[in-house]
Amino acid sequence: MVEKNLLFQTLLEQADFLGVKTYVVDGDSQLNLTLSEVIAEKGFNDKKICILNSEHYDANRLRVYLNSRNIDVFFIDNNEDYAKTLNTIKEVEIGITPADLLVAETCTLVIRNKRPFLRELSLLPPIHIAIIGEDQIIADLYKAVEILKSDIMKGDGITLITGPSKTADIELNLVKGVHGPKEVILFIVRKDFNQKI
Amino acid sequence: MPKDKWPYREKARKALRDPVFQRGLEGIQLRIGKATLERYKEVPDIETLRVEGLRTRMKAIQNLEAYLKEFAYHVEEGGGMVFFAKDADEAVDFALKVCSAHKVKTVVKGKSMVGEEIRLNRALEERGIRPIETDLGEYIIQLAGEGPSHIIGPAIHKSKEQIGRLFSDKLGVPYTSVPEELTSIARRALRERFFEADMGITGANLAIADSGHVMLVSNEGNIRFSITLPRVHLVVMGMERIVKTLEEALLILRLLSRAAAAQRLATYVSIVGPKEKIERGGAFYVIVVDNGRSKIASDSDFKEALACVRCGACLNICPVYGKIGGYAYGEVYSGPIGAIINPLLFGIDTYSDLFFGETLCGACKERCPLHIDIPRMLLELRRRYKEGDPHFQVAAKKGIEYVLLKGFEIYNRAPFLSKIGTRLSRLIVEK
Repeated sequence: MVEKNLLFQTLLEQADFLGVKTYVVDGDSQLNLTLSEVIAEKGFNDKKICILNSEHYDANRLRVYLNSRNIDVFFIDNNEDYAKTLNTIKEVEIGITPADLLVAETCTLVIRNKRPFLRELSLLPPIHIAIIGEDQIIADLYKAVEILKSDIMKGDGITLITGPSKTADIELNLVKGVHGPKEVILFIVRKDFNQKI
Repeated sequence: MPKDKWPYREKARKALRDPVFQRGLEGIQLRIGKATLERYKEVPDIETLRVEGLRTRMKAIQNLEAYLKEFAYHVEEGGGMVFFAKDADEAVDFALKVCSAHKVKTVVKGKSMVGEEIRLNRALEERGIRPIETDLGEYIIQLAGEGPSHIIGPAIHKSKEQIGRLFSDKLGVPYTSVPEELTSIARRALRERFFEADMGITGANLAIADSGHVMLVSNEGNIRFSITLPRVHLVVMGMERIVKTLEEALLILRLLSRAAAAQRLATYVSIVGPKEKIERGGAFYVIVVDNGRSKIASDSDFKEALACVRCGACLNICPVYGKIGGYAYGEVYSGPIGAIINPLLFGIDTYSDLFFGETLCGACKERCPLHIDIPRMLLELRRRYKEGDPHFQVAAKKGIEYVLLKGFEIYNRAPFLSKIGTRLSRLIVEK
């Protein structure tokens, strides 16, 4: 328990340092509620929002919930046509995605490249919202590699994402969102309240 | 045929007289240079990690042939192709063959130093293929028709006003000098190019021998775009850019992130092999470029230079680079490490001013994430230059030049003489 708290503390500190807004929610219903509030609060209602399917949350329920709050969301299924879907993602302003792991030490999202459209939806839209289960939080990068090693040795690729896209190429001014998202928002779903994770 | 001497002094003088360039250099040294030190201090066992990092890189240099073979085996097993190019011409030639095989018209490029080294863009343009640099700094200097002046900050010699005028001239947008606005202009312009491009060309921060992946690091996301959207991914890497395992790559990544931009971890790290491209009906190629590197690897005095991870930390602390900037170093590599690599790759006689120009103050070795002994190699280059070295086609110096060099050597090796010299020069300067 102590260890878990320490992990959380490190993670939240690092998220704060990177400017990654983090919400810790208890279970699916609080996730739905908080996510819809964040979207409404930020005035994102009129934005084009897209959610990716995941085994870590109920994307369909989330969509229905957001719809009921007058937030229009569309949903990408894993086996849709690549070129067609890419064209859709091109216009998306908020991408809501899962991730495979979250590294506490550096607040790094780890994703497997073989997950359909995850690389694209976490990269193209100006805002990326990642939903992570508490159980997916690990201490450091070495642990991540340990977990993913056998897949990597079979040739799979992975992507590590640490905070929003940034550059300092113009007179060393830090500017966010040069190619990738300007903003990364994290939702951590606590396990005890959610049987699905 | 010996090439003419590189006009080091002339280029240095030009930078010294450019106030914008001077401001950029001062900024990068004061801000990134200092912040890097803070990031090192954060890690309690940083010195152990740095020693381990150098050991890992030197092990790879020692076993280059075996590691590269293993890497190539895994890439080809996954459906990719690896080509070993002995020089720039062979590398460029293969890249063009890949382009014509896949009917490539537009290429998006992630920043690649070796790509600059082999003049890949020029060759592509001559074939009517449009190479578009996608790192913001590289994009700026490509629009301006210039080369990079810093390994990781290629456009530090430009002011935001100059960039504003450049964008307005070349892209037809209204003038602005606000960095956020300039960045979003580039974001919009380049976004379309990513979708158009048939091929993405990247370098490789490291290749991983036992899995057949390359590791690509960026903060902007341009590399993720370049390797995700186009059908074909072509990697151009120096032959020394390899480690044995993923864990070794992570160790170097941690050191690199802190050294290059004072981060715990760079924003985006992609570890990719051929698999995703092949599964989607695309293609994956790697060009492993020698271009003089195996000669360096076989020289026991200089092989340590190949351990370099191109973080730019030595540029951010070097008192000489801090004044004369990147262009004085002639080729793409600049700063203290460039003063070793450029002469070794492109001619010791041609680029001799580079290693005579550095001060041997040792700040580079101190700041290097791997503690690469740059001062030792600078001195060794001076010795080879004076005494000659058939291996690197250097003739021994004779007559008055030899006497002067000998005097300089004695001066450098005797601390009391250097001290007197420094005091004298201070007296002169302060008057």
